[in-house]
Amino acid sequence: MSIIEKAMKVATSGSEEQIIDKIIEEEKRVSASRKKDPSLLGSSRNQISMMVQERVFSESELLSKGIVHSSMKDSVLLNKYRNLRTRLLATTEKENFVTLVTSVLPQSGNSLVATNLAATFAFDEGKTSLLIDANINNPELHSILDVNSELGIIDYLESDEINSSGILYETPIPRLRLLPSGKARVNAAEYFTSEKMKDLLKDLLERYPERFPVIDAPSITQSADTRILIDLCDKVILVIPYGRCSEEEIRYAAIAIGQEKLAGVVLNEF
Amino acid sequence: MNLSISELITRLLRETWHRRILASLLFVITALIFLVLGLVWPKIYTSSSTVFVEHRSMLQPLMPDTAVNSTVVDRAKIAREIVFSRKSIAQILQNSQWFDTPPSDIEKDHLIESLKKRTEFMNLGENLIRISFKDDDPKRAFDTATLMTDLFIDESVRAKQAESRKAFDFIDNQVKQYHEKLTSAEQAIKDFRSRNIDATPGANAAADERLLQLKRQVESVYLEIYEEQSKLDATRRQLAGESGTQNSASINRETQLSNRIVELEQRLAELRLTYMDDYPDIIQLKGQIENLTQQVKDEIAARNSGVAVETTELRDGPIAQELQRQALRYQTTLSSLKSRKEQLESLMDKERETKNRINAVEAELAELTRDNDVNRQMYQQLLSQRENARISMNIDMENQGLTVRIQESASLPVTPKGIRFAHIILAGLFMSLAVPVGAAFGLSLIDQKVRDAAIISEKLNLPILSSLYPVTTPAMAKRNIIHASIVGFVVISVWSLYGFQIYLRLRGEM
Repeated sequence: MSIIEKAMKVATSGSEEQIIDKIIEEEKRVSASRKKDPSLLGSSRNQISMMVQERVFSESELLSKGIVHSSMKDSVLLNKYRNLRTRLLATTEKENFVTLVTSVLPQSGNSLVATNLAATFAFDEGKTSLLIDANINNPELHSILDVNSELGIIDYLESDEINSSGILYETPIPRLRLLPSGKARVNAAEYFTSEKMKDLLKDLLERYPERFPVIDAPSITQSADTRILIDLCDKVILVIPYGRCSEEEIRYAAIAIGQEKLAGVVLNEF
Repeated sequence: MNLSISELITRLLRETWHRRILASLLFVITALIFLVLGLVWPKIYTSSSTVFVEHRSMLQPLMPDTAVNSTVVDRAKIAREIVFSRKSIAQILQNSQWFDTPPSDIEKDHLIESLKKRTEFMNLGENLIRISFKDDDPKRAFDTATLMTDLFIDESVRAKQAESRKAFDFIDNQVKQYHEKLTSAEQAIKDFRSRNIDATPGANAAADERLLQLKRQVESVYLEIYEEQSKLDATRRQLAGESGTQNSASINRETQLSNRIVELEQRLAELRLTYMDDYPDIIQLKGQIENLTQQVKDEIAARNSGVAVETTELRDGPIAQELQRQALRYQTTLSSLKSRKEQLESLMDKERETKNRINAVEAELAELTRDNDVNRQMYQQLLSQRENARISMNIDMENQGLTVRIQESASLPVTPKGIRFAHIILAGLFMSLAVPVGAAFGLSLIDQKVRDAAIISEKLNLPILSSLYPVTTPAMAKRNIIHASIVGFVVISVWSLYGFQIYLRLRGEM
């Protein structure tokens, strides 16, 4: 993105303070609606703080990988992600819910959107997020997060010997765990339809009280996996890249997701 | 798609940046095309002159009442006709170096057409014409414009001279015609006069006088005749008076007759006392009385006239004889007077006839004279006009009354006119930017992809959670800077090339 575009974006997005105020206000409202017992909250915090954290990304590493962090310079983008998180929370009453990020077309940047969304959830020390890479044919997340994954979700579904905690990897972002896709497979849909996949998601959700799993799925128009995964998750975010898809493709994607599950669209680079 | 201006500009820049390779290529190609065009575009030099033309017909001031000129004249059109007349164009073709080798007829024709296109005649005001000529050689443009101007002026002056010569000839011709008419009218009067000598001025008055004289003579003759007649009568009465016996006898007869009438009337009265009027005696008596009364009358008449005396009773005696001689003399005089009277009267008739004839001749003469007068008047007027025309003609011959002159002569053009290098360069700078931006934007319009958030939110009715963009990583920033530098370098090198060419051009022209 050129410098000019960025400047235009800042100019058109209004005063920063106003946006921050708005976000804070909305967050308060959302958290009020999700009120919990303080003692419970405290226990979950303790639980989370005990999570192992070996290595943490430096700011420059995060920047070079394109991942948002709470003290980044581009506060406009940061606020946008916060805003997205708040809105997403506002769409459902459920405590822990599974979010699926898909796109209209491949290469729409939805992996980064999913990563950044998960990172935004993990800003809060009382919350953890889990990133599930469902992009079986073309997994990206492990390379973004610098995770050396030998086993992944497919391996888990394929074999009975692997424990669910065995495929959950620690990332250099605090409170963010990654469930990589594992080895590339051809017929993944068949695994996703299994009962084991449902059980896995349930298990992962229940492991921590404030956990927000985010599934990075391939584009909905290209992959049948995504449709199956939609059934397993609670909310779907559709990423629309600028100037690459037609109206018809967007309409088709929206219909495929269904109005009930579609939390909303995210415009990428508009 | 309704975009505000700032949105449009953002969109244009974004699409151009998105297709930066294509845009750069188009920029370079367009800029180079215009540069080459600017270098090879022929330089057009225009040389123009202004001519002052005061067009006035020669005949108008000379014959103010006779000639009427049309007032609206397209002088530029006339000038074009004059300059592109066959004669003039031949001169133009000869003058400059149009061809290296002797041209064919077709080449000549093409050149003439091109000359016509490149020459412009313009009405600047009522009396000013601008003649301008375009050529890629400034010297030739100047030469041709000058030549055209000279040709136009020469031709105009020549035409004017011809016109004044024509005006003079026309008036001269008229003078000659009127001269002939005048001469023939005078000849006609002369002939008429010689045919009618009486018809001298005053002939009528003389005839009147003569007639009056004759009248007077006739009157005196009448008087004389009357005198002689009365003398003759008196003489005759004297002669009659000599025979008095005869008179008394007549009176006696008369008295007897009268007495008889009285007697008869008495008798008639007596009879009437006893008888009616229709009584035969009374009727008889009346007849007798009437008869007698008639006889008395005759007697008196005969006595008074004395006629019977002459024939019946002539007297001898000296006095009577003397009287008779006298009477005879009187008679002779009288008859001579009468013949004179007749002669005079016939003279008068003749004189009257002459007078009538004179009147008729004078009417004819008046008509002839009138014609003559009109002709003479016209002739004199024309004579003075002819002198004016002669002077005008002489003035024109010596170019003294010149009404066509160069107001501003053609100059050697220094800078080319029309579409010039500078214009093409400017267009090139503009177009080289407009074409890539336009092409990028056009492509973005053609592909029918969604670039507007409003379509998603309003048309497709999907809730928009957020509008995101990837974090600008240092690698991305670096790449952008490199790309921008390359694009900037391309733009600056093209502009430098332009600048260099402009510099060369300026130095070359200085």
